[in-house]
Amino acid sequence: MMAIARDTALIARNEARRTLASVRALALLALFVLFSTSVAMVTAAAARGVSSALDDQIAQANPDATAEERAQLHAQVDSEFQARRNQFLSFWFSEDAALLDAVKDVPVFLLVLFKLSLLFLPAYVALLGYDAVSAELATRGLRYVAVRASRTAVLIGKFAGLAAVLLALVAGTQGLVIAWAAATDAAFGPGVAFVTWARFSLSGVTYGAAWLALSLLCSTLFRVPMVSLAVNGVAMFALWLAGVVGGHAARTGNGPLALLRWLSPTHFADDLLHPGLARFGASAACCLAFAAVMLAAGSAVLSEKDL
Amino acid sequence: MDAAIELEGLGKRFGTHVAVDGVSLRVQPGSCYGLIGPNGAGKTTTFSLMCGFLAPSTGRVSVLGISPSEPGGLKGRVGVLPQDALLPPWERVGALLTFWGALSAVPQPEAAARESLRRVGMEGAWDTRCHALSHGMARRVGIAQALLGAPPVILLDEPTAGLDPRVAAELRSLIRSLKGRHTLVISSHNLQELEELCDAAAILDKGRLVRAGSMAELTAQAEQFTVLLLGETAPPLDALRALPGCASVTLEPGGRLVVQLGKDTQPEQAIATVLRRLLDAGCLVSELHRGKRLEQRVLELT
Repeated sequence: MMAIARDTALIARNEARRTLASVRALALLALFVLFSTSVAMVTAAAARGVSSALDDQIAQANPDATAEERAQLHAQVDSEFQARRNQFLSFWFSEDAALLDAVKDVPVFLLVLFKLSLLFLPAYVALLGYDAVSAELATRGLRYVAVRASRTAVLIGKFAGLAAVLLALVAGTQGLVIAWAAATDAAFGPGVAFVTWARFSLSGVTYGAAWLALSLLCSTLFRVPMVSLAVNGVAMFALWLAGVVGGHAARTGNGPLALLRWLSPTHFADDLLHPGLARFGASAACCLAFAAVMLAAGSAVLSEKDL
Repeated sequence: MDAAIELEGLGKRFGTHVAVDGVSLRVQPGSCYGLIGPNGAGKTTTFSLMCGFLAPSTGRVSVLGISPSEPGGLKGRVGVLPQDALLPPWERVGALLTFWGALSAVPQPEAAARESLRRVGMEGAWDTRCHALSHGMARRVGIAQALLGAPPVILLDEPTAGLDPRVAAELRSLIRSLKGRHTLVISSHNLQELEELCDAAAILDKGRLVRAGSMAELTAQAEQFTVLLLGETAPPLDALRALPGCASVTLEPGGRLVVQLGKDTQPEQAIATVLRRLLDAGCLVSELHRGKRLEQRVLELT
């Protein structure tokens, strides 16, 4: 058991080092920064539009109004702003009132960015891990490692290494965007920014781990990396669809179809930012259980495979 | 003595194609064992079964008493040079060998990696990325990783394929130096090389074991010898045939005198007697070879 743990750690470290040193990690980082910047610009423009409309409302108020009337107007405008914000976020982020309250100090664009990044994270993860095993099956390079370590240690080590890279990429990119938000928005203080960064990074990597395990399973199934990537894409879409259809069925009370949502990590991801520990814990546990099932299947496939 | 490697009724099929069919053999500890056969004979499949790269369809493999399919069972015990496995292109040779050494539980992996590279004459490639290595250099790095940590069993698939004659000779010398301290299995098409290096061998054809035994048995060293004659002087064939222990004497074109030995004959004694008689008759002897050439034997059997 100790030997397996040691081998897993060695393989994880090597995989992380190799991936971080590759052009791919740089390309994925650039892609995420580009994506974040685009979302930030669009949502910041939208937020500015709302803010400017409310400013106009205040400016058009009666100049002879008393201080008490002005305070009332400000409170009314703030309340309207919050209502519009919550209305916007209930569509783009979550309908859960407790969750919306927990993130009330976080700039809207960060929440939208986080939600969109969760949507695209599976594809991002697929690009990171689709050839982790299949490329070495294709070149038979895995033989050099398989004679020195168990195949389970190889798979789990690769998963751990890529998960570490994913954490670094997610934490790094989220850190950049959140730092920029904290620097440009006085209401978004360093304390809230740090907590937001920690929660976003942890949630992102937990959710990403589920999809990464699926990518590694697909990678063990095929010797041709492009086939692995294609099957990975189809599987991700099918699971995402199962989450959407199952979620809709659950809301409309359709029994059997509602069960589909339990197949999809997208369903488990909903509560990853929830302030309630039980709901966050259950959500994270489901994502990790999904990853464990995928890894167990991958390990079984790899153990039986002719290298 | 327990065999270092034991195959019992080993079989492997890929779909309907039978690649290896009921092969049984034993490799003694410290010996150098050859796997011989034409293309498609099942050499590489048998080799891959010994390394645990493939799972047997039937039968059993045991390496140092362990099944190669046992997870992590061969760690530190077996060094393998696979035939067609590519090195990861973007890795640097030194870092790669150090990583593999650590995975093999070698106590000082970096020092072991440097030593292995030195033994194959590749110490200068420490910082070279694998994609920049020529075929021959990559082959030598492959051999270096097989030697990491001096494992008791070393399996080499086509170790000198594609190497220039000087490097191939150096590697043969290296392999020779490993004999006795390591159990070696070499799969190769180079029969002259196998004849020179191996103590024993198995000849495979169409997935089946055709013959296995010591090199002396395979090349019939106790059964015949050949003398290559020069010059115009005819050998005294009748006198030679009359010598005790000589079952038959034949002169083949090119001055090849083939002497078949009788049963229970001491080959050394018979060789001395025949040579004396040839020299007495004024014949010029340029070469003597005991038994048949391995190549000839393989061609007869496959």
